[in-house]
Amino acid sequence: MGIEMERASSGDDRRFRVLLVDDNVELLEAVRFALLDDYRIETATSAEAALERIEQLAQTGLPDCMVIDVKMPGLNGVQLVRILRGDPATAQIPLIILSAYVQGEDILRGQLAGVDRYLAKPFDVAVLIDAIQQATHLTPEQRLTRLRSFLDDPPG
Amino acid sequence: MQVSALLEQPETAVTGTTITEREFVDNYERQRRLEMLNLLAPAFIGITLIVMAAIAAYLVVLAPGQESLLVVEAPLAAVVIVQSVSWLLVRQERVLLPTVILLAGNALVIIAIEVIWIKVNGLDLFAIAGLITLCSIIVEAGALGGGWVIVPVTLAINVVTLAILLVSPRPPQLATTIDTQLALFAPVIIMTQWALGATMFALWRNVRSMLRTVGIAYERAQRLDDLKNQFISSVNHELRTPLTTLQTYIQACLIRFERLSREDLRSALERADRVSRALAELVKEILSTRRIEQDAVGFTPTAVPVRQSVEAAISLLDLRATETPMRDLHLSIPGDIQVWGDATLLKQILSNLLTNALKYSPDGTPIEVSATLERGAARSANEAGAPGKGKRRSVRSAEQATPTVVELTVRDHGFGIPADEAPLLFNRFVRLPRDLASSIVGTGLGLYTCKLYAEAMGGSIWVESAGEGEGSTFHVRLPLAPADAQAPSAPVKEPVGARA
Repeated sequence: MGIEMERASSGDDRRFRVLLVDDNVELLEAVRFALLDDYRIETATSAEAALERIEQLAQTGLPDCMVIDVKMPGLNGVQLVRILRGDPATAQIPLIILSAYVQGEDILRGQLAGVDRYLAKPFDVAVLIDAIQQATHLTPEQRLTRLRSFLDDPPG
Repeated sequence: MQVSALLEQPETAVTGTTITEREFVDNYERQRRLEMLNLLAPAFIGITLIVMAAIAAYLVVLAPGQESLLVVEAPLAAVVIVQSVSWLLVRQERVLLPTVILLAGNALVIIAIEVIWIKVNGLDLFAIAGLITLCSIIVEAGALGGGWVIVPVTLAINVVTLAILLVSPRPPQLATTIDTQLALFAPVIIMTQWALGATMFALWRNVRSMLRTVGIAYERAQRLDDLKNQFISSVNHELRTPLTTLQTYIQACLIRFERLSREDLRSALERADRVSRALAELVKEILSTRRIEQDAVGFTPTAVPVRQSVEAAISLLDLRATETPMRDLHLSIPGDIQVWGDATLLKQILSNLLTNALKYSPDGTPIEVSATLERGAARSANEAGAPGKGKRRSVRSAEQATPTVVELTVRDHGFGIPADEAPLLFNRFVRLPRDLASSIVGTGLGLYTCKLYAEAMGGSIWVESAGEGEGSTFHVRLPLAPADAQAPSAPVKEPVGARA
């Protein structure tokens, strides 16, 4: 139910693939609408669905970045992050959390699970695009260094 | 529709540390005793030192030849040292040992004075009078210990008193007089000691029970506060999501403006519009408390037929929202019963109670609504004097005097209500912890509204539940419409067995 047609067919589309995970369909559509020009957008309405989608995508290529909500029925976003980080196949996917939980401990919990960015709702679309760009342009080594520095000296 | 999400528990649930009433009382009493010990320990040490000086002066100056009695200074010096140590123990929050030491030390000081006096003068009237000062130990025991400590202390003081009275040598010239007088005086002293002991015990009990009352109120306030925090935290979360959606659409439109087709723009705006309406609805719902309170005072009472109100309330039920399957609704309402109040308020009360009954009982269980005439006041005596309700209240007070009221009951066979949580339910934004954790929709305003409206009409509301899983019965008492004000009774429709 995309607002507009997917522009390019998947074959020659060189844009990064972003998987959005949120149980709120309205917000999912809104974020998809915001990112549509620059990214190939996949959506999932639960952590379980996201894991399934990743498995399907594994043949054609994993998502280049994931944007994940925290509060979802079933597995929550932080649990999803832990699962992804725990699996060598998906451990390298850049992960961005988008959450209404903005207490220090919530952010810390997300960062300990290994997210690249923790954005609070409501967020700026420009900031989200910037976060995705940063996350997708880091080499795996650079990302690892950033994660380590988080764990050594978590902010907040 | 967004309100449904309000009851979902946020991931970081607010869990305040709840102190029970018992802990509250115990904590307070411990603090009080520590404080008393801290104040009294130095005072007692000072008194012992003064007594030591007085004894020395007496023996040296006033009773020459008795210097050998100066040996009592040794145990008194020991008392000073031990009492000082006990003061240090108080500083380390020890209670029992310092209490025992301080009491025993004080008793020793008084006994020392008695012994010296009796050694020098024999058991004369001054010695007997001096024995009464032993009573101060009982008062100290009441202040420092409280409770059952007073009993053994009083007993010990009895024994010491009697021992001194019986064993002490009488002054030679007064021996017979003293013995005769003691036959009367000894029981008087003992009884005085017990009277003091009983008084101290009663005082202690009194303080405990007052504290318990405060503790109960404290515990309740704390739980209410927890529930409110939970509500605020979930409202906060539920506002963020639609707000974020709205903001995302607007910012995305701005960022992508040049590249968007007119159709895309229109479709995005339509979606944003829908979200903003839902958001406005949610905010309205949250802010409606204010309106509820205004509604409750702005009406002119009239005779309201109960049956019509119930039927109107049933038609008000939003059955789509609750996705309720067919339920049996048994009405037992005489067609001519009319209450004195406001049709809208009554309809809202009934609608809220029916909605609750539907929400908090399993599919297929029946719901019963009945109205009966009862004798008695619509409001309970302590509620009747509720202040600050304007002049309409005073006009209506004449009707409240009539002993006949209408009692409406809405009974379900659902999840029931734990007895200790039932009274809290009528407070604003309060929901049972069980329901907050469930997926049942609610804002915690329904019963608050019912109570406000019922009381505004000069009535009362309460709930009975045999406990969890036993169903609940909500009772609303409202004043019966005065006979001369009754509207001609509406044509009575077929009474029982309506289906919702």
